[in-house]
Amino acid sequence: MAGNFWQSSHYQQWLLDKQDLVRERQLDLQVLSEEEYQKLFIFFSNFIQILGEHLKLRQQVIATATVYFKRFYARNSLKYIDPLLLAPTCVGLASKVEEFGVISNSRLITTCSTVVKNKFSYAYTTDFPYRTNNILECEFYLLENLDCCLIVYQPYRPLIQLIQDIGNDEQLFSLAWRVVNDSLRTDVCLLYPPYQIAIACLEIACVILGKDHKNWFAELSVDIEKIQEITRYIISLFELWKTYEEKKDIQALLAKMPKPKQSPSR
Amino acid sequence: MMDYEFKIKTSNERTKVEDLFEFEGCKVGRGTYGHVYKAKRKDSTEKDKDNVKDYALKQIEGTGLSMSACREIALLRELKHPNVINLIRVFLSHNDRKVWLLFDFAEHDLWHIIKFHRAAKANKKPLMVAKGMVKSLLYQILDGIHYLHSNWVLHRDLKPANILVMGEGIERGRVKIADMGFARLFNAPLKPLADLDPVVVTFWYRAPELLLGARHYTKAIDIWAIGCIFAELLTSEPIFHCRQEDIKTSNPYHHDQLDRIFNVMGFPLEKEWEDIRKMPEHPTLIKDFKKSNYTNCSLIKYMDRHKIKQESKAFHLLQKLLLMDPTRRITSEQAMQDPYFLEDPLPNSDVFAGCPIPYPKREFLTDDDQDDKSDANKRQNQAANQQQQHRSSSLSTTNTAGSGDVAREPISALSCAAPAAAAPGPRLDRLDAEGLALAGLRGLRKRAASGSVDGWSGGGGGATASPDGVCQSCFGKFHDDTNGEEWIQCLSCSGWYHAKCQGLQAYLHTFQCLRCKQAAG
Repeated sequence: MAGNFWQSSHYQQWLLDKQDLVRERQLDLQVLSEEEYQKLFIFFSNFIQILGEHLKLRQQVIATATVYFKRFYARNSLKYIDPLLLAPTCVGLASKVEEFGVISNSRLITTCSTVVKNKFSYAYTTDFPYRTNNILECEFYLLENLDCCLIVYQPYRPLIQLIQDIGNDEQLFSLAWRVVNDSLRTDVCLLYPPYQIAIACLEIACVILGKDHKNWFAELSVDIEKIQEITRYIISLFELWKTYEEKKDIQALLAKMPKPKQSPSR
Repeated sequence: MMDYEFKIKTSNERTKVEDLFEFEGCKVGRGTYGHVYKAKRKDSTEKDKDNVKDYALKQIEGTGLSMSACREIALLRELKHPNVINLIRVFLSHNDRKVWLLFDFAEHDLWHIIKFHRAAKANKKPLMVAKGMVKSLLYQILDGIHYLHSNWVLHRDLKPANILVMGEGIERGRVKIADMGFARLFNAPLKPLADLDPVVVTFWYRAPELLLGARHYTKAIDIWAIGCIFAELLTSEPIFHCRQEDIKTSNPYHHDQLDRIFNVMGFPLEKEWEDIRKMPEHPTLIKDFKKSNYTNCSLIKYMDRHKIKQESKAFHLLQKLLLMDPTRRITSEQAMQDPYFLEDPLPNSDVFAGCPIPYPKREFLTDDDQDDKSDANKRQNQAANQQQQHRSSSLSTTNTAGSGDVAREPISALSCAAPAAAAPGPRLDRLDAEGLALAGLRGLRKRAASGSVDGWSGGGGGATASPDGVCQSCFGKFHDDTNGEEWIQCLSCSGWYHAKCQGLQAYLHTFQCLRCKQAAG
C-alpha cells in the first residue's frame, strides 16, 4: 500500500485531533493525572518493544503493534481491558498482518511470562496471568475497536527517503531512527501523518548532532507549524525522561490505574 | 482481564450477521477459504424483495483470525478499485469465533463462463456474445491488477475462478478480481493438499519461473496468469492444461506442467531467456528435457489451431503476456496501452455491452445437514435460471456476434438442463474448482480404476480397453500404460476422458458427458 497514504484508513479514519483525545480520556483522567497517564503508556510501549525484540520481530511490526495499542485506548478507558493483556494481543495481531510469520499463541504466552519475570519484575511481582484463550478473546475486541484498520503507515519508510535525499549520513540516520522509536511513546502517531513525524525526528536528530541542514529543511514543502508541534511532543518526552525514574514509580502507578471488574458492579 | 460492563456494552452494540442478513440454505461456494452465501438484507420490505440487492457473505474457514484472514481483512480494508472486489463490512461472531466478510454479490465468474462456452462449443449450438467481450474482460482484469500492483499487492493466485463478473444491476458486466492469494506463501498447509480444494493446487496458471524454483512472487507472475486466462478466453481451453497427479507442494518443480508449457510454446532458447540458467531447478530441467522434442511447437501454431491468427492484435498482445523470460514480460500498464485496445470494438465497462447475459446464475449448493431446505431453494433457483435461459436464447438471434474474439460459438442448454437429471449430493459444476471438487481426490482413483461406475467404465494402467481419440474434456492425448494414467469412458457415446479430467465427476454420480449430454448415475 506504499503509494496510497491519502486513500488509506490511516489517513481517513485514524488521524485524530487533540480535542478527541482529551474527550476520550476523560474517564481515565479523573483517576490519573495527565503525566501519570503518559507514564503508563511509556511503560507499556517499552513492554511491547521488549516483547517484540524477544520474539525477534522487526521494528516495523513492533511499531504497528504499539499503534494498535494506542488506537484502542484512544477510544476506550484503560479499565476496559487490562493493558498487560492487550499489549501481547497487539503484538500477535501485528505480526500476522505484517507477514513475518505467525507467532503461535503458546510462544507468545511463554515469551510474555519470561519477559515479565526477567525484565519487568520491578513492575510485576506475580507471574504473567493470561493464557491463549484470553488472547484469542481479546483479539476480537481489538480488531473490532480498530474498525478492522490494520495497515498502519510508519515514519520509517519516509525517513529512509529523506535521508537519501539529504545525502547518506549513517550517524544521522541511526539517531533519527531511534527518535522515531521514541516518538511511539508520545501521541504523535495518533495525531500526525508519518511523513511529518519523520521530518520532525530528522530535525531533532540534526539538532542533537549539531548538523546544519537548515537550507534543506527550508526547501521541503511541509507545514512547518505541524513539524514544530511534533517536535514539542518529542522534546517534552525527553524532558520527562530526565527526571522520571520508572523503576521507582511504576508499581504505584499500576496500582492506581483503573482496572476491569469481572462481575457486574453494584 | 476484561471489564464485565465493557463486554455487555459492546455486545449490545454489536450487529450480528444473522440479524441483518438472510442467507440460510443459500450457499453458492465452498473451498479452502470457507463458505460463500448469497445473502439479502432482512430489513428489505416484502414488496421490493425481487429488486433488492444481493450480497456475498463469506464465512472464513476455521475459527478466529488466521494469518490469511488477517491479511485479507487488512488489505481489502484499504483497496478500492472498480475492478477489485469491495469489502463492505466485517462481522465478528464472538460466540463461535467465526469471521464473516460482506461483499457485493457477483453472479458470474470466468470459470463458469468459459465452461459454458466450452459446453456450447462441444454441443455445436451457436452462442452469441457481445462484440469485444474478451477484450473488455482482459482490459478490466489488467486495470484491476495494475491498481493492485501499483499498491504493491500481488495477487499470487490468478485463475478464471477468481475473476468475477457482475450480473444485472448497476455494475452490470464489470470484472471484480477476488481471492488474492493472501497467505499462500506463508501458510504451511495443515492438511495434505490432496484433502483440500484442488483450486489451490492448480498449476495451469503458474509461470515457468515458479515451476523452476523462483523463490519470490513477482508482478510478472501475475501477468503470466493473465496471459493464460486471455488465451483461455480466446479458445475456451486452458492453454497449459495438465493432469494434476503428483502434486507436491514442497517442491515447486513440476515436470508435466513444464512439458505442457514447452509443448505449446516451444523450448525456451537461451537468447530468449538468459537468466534461465540461474533458476534453482535449471539443472533438473537440463536433465529431464530435450530441446529437440519441442522443435515443432510454437504459440503461433497453437493459437492458429484455435483459429487465432498470428497477425491479429489479440495474438500480438498474448505473445507479450506469455513471454517466458519474466524480465521481458509486459507490465499491466504497458499492456493497457496495447494497440489491441485501440482497435474496434473498444473495450466496454459492461463486458456484455448491454446484450443479454446467456450464462446461468449461480446455483445453491446442498449441504448434507440442510438438505430439505436447500432443495427447495435449488428448485426455485433452477426455475429462475431456466427462465433466464429462455429469455436469452430467444434474444440471441437478434444480437450479432463480433467478428473477432469469441465469434459465433455454439450455444447450449446444457448448464441449465443438467440439474433436472442431478441426483442428490454435491454437484460438481457448482464448485469453483478447476474441473475437480473438494469431495475427495482420493476417492476418484479407486472408483475410476475399479471398473464401471454408474454408466461409466474406468480403466487405465493395463486395462484391456484402451482409449482412442482425445479426451473429451481437455482434448489432450492419452498416454500409454507405463504412464499409470487412468481413464474412463462414457458408456452411452463411448467418449473417453482422462480420469483426471472427468473421473471425479463420475465419482460424484452427477456428471453429464460433455459429448453426448447423457447424465451418468
